[in-house]
Order: sequence, then structure tokens, then C-alpha cells
Amino acid sequence: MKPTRAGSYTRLALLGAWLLAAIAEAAPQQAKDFDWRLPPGFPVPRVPADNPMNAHKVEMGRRLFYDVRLSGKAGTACASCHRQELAFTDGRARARGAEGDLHPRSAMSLANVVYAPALGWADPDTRSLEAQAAIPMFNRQPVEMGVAGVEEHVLARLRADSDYRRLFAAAFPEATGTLALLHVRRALAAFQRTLISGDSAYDRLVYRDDAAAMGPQARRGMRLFFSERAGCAKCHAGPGFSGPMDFEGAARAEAQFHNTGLYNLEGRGRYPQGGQGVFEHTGRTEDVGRFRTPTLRNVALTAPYMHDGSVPSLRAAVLHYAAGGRNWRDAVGSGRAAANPHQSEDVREIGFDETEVDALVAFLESLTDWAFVSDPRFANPFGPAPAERAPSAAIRNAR
Amino acid sequence: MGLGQGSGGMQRAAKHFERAEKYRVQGIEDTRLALEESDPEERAEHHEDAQRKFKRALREYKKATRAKRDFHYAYNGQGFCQRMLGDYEAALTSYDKALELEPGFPPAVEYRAEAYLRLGRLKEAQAAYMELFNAERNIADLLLRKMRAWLAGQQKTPTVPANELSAFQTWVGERSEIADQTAALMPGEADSRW
Ligand code: HEC
Ligand code: HEC
Repeated sequence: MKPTRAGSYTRLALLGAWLLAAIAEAAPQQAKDFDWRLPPGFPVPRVPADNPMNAHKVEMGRRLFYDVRLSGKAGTACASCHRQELAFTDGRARARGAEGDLHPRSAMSLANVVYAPALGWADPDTRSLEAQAAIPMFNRQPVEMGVAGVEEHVLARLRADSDYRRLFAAAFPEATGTLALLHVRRALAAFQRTLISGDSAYDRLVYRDDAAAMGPQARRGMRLFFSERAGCAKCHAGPGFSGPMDFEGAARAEAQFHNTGLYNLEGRGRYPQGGQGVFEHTGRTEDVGRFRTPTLRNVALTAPYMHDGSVPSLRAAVLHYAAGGRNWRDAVGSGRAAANPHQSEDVREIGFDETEVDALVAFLESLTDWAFVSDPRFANPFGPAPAERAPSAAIRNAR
Repeated sequence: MGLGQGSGGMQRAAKHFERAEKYRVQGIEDTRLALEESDPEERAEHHEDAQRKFKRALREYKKATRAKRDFHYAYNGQGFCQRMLGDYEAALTSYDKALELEPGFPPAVEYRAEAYLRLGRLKEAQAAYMELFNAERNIADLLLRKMRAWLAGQQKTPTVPANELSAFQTWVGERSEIADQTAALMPGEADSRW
């Protein structure tokens, strides 16, 4: 729509659309009916038709998320690697599974994951939270939760729990059989869809018109972040700071993957094994090193950074971009990563001065949502004890 | 749909509404011609034409709201015409009615905010902007342009106190900057909000 002199034609065209909508019989809109408690400016999430939201399902998903009985033998829950106080990351460079295996990549934040068009660091094909939940449960390389081969055992444990029996009946009124893995995945997905973070200082400034929410330094950093020169918002776009978002009523979004010049092994653009990005799915050389843009919300709580945790601090992350890629020789790399042939054109030497680096860091810090990381709706339902311990107590109680 | 008088009322309402919209478009066109005209006599003529069209449109909108009491689109159009005819208080009443029937209805929020501006009720105009910013970004952008135009007019003939004016000017500057920054957040125009 072209803006016109009076602007009124735009309005007229809009009005026509509204009129049609008003005259058409209002269709029941399941996604809109759920009480999302959306922060101002956030769109209504899209929900798969075969897994409608309801409060019981969310509650069942929350229990499962924190429940170590969902793992094979050792006490690992989703929450072992996705801790609320760390915006649902684990504080490690690379995640560690139930049997001590080191994951090749870093645990990702789950803030606003409901809007992600694809899930994981570099997986264009996993598009629903229902499908994603199977990965940590069944992964064998590395073992994350170790459910593969002991599915019936794990399910028997859950079915024996009267809380799950009650929640299952209320959450899936249409289900005819007993609790199955499908329901586990659906409930986990429903819970994760509620993990919406939009109450940072940045949000208070932008969406609530609270001019005092952000200090002058963070505000300078914000200006820089969105500037053409820094170009951060080219990739860290949208209210999620993570690129295209999927939501109710919008055209299907496609995830975008970028090579930010973290590695350039042998000067040939190669990345280390297990961290080669989209290439590991497609086998195409141009996909080496391409990863999905992670959210920057709560980023001050999610160190260390990047898909392999190889960047220790926010300052180091900003310097990475200032240099236009990792341009030092490190233990794994040889040659200037900045000359990586597959690197995105939007990552090139910028040369921030010290005050600019400080300002950008201050801006990134203003994206922390303290209400999100302490919201009782997302907390461990087995009690106030740390995530690692409380589920064990639940096991003892269940026995 | 809450048709006060059954589907006969609905049909009558739709008929009057359609007529009203036609006159309103003509009024807007005449207003545009008046704005573009340099000859004062011609301009006055276009202006008169426009006023005539808005009066006709207003009559039709009123018939539409009588035929269908909860027709918020028609109350909204009614408010628009009253505003164009210079009756800002009446316009506010119409917009209030539209918004009572359909809370948050973006065009009414925007039009009402313009009426607030004309009446110097700046705080209310600002609140309306934020409501639109969080719901319909393109309409929020439109209101911001209107606010800048209003400010430009105030430089020549101020109608609100200087301190209020300068605070408002600062606010408009800041919100324009934020709007520009977050406009860069819109991926592929997937939706007007982003
Ligand atoms: C052993 C640690 C570990 C456990 C346990 C674990 N995760 Fe993860 N999670 C990760 C890692 C590592 C990634 C990034 C995977 C990749 O490389 O794509 C991830 C990614 C995700 C993502 C994608 C987030 C995004 O933004 O794309 C979701 C969703 C997720 N995990 C949910 C879960 C759920 C649900 C469970 C429990 C069933 C779980 N995780 C258990 C480590 C773990
Ligand atoms: C070309 C797209 C692109 C641009 C431009 C870009 N980023 Fe990134 N950003 C990414 C991707 C992709 C990753 C993950 C890379 C990886 O793990 O290999 C990332 C990771 C990050 C991280 C680490 C997040 C985490 O959770 O690990 C931070 C912080 C960050 N970027 C900040 C910035 C800042 C500040 C700018 C501007 C100076 C910027 N980015 C510009 C795509 C981009």
C-alpha cells in the first residue's frame, strides 16, 4: 500500500478489509482464545491444529519439563540443560547429557521459542516443538536424556503417577488410550509455547512509552545496534531479535541461517566437526558455518555465546563483530576467519571505538527480562529447590 | 452480529453505509484538489465541494447507524465527516461510540487521536499512539506523521502553552526515532506490525 498525501486512501482500503471481516461470521479462533498474557506489541502465536492449547496441558508440560523421570536412567530433565534463571540455557559452552556425553553445541534459550520458524542451531527441517521434543529424548549421539530403547519403562513411570493421570485426562479430553509419548511431546510443546519474554527495559521503552526505562548509554547502544553501520538488526530482527517470526495470521516465515565468520579452518572456510552448521543437513559447501540467528533477549544471562560457546562474554561478542569475524589465530583455527569465503556480507569489519563497545554491551544488557526468569508460571513445580535436585525428590516421592 | 432490526436492518444499513463511503471518498478527493490548487477562488470552490460531500456522507452514516445500532464502522465514518466539517467535539462522541462497540478499533483510535490533537489534548493523543503502535504499526506511523504536521502548524499559530508544546515535540522526536529503529525489525512485511 502506497502512502498517499492525505493518507486516507490507505484507510479506505483497510476499512474495506475490516468490513468484510465484520460481515463474515466470526470463526472460532482457538489460538486467540487461550490466555497468552502477551506483552504489548507481541503477536498471537500460531498453534498446530492438532495440539490446541489448554491450561491443563501447559501444566502437564511444565511438570514433564522439570521431571527427571523422563530420562532413561540418570536424573536428567529438560530443565537440566534449560534452566529458568539462565533464560533456559545451562551456562555451559557445550551441553552435557545424561550419561556425561558432551553435546557438540550449546543449549539454546527457550525464550519466545513459540515464534521460531525452525528449531535448533542449524536444522531447517525441525519446525514444530512437538517434533523437536523427540530429539533430546531419543538422541544417541550424544545421549541427552537416553530414552531410546527404554520408552515403555519411562512411560510406565509416568503412568504410575496420579498427578499425570489427572492432568492427562484434563489436558487431552479427546484421547482414548493411555498416556503415550505423543502426549508427552504435545504437552512439552504447549508448555514451551507459553515461555514468552517481553518485559525488559527495552520493552518498557519501546512498547510502554517509559522513557526512563533505559539509561543514556543503553539508548546510545540501541541507536548503534539499529544503525546501518553496525547492521545488527539485519539478522537480529523482529521483537525476538532472532530474525523472521512465525505467528497467527502471518504468512509462513522461513528461518534464516548465517555464517558470522567464527572459523576459517585451513583458510578454506571450514568449521570444526559437529559445528558445521546447515552443511551437516544439506551437504552443500555454501552452507558450511551457517547457523540460525539466536535471540538476543536475556542474552546477558546466557553466556558463553555462539553455537559452541566459544565466545566468553558479551564484550567479546561485540568485538567479534567489530573485527568483522574472528580474525585471530586460535587453537582450532588457522588463518583469518574474516576471509572465510562463505561468510555473510553483513558481517564485515566495523571498528567500534571503546565507548561504542560499552554502549552496545549496555544495550544488550537492557534486553534482560527479570520477570521472565523468576516467573512462577515457568518455575519448577516440584518445589523451590534447584532444578537438578528437586526432580530427584519427585522420584523418591513417586516410589 | 447483533442486528438490532433483523436482516432487513442489516441490508438498509449496508446500503446507506455504501453511499456514505462513496461521498466520503469524493470529499477526500475534493480536499486533495483544494490542497493542490494555487488559485484561491478555485481552492475555495473545491473546499466547498468537499464540505458538501462530507455533509451528505454524514447523513448517510447516521442513517446506517439508525438501521444498525452496533455498526461501529458507520460511527467511525460519522466521526471522520464531523471532524472534516470542523465539529471536533461531535467527532469525539462518534469515535467514542465506535470504540465502545469495538474496543481498540484502529481507525477510530487514530481518528480520535487526530481530534484530540485539534483540541490540544496531547496526553490522550500520545496514549492513542501507543495503543496503535502495539496493534497496527502502519496506522501508528500515519498518526505520527499527522502529529509532525500538527507541530509544524503550531510553529505558526500556537494553540497550546509553549512548555506543553516543547515536551510534545521532544516526545514526537523520540517516538519517531524508535519507530524508525523498530521498522527495521520488520521481516519481509509479513505483517503490518513488524
Ligand atoms: C543435554 C542437554 C539438553 C537436554 C537434556 C535438553 N536439551 Fe534442549 N537443547 C540442547 C541443545 C544443545 C540444543 C541446541 C541443539 C542444536 O544444536 O540444534 C537444544 C535446543 C532446544 C530447542 C530449540 C530452541 C530453539 O530456539 O531453536 C528446544 C525447543 C529444546 N531444546 C527443548 C528441549 C526439551 C523440551 C527438552 C526435554 C525433552 C530438552 N530440550 C532437553 C540441550 C538439551
Ligand atoms: C549476518 C547476520 C548477523 C549479523 C549482521 C549480526 N549477527 Fe549476531 N549472530 C548471528 C548468528 C547466526 C549468530 C550465531 C552464530 C554461531 O553460533 O555460529 C549470532 C550470535 C550473536 C550473539 C551470541 C548469542 C548467543 O546466544 O550465543 C550475540 C551477542 C550477537 N550475535 C550480537 C550481535 C551484534 C551486537 C551485532 C551487530 C554488531 C550482530 N550480532 C550482528 C547473526 C548475525
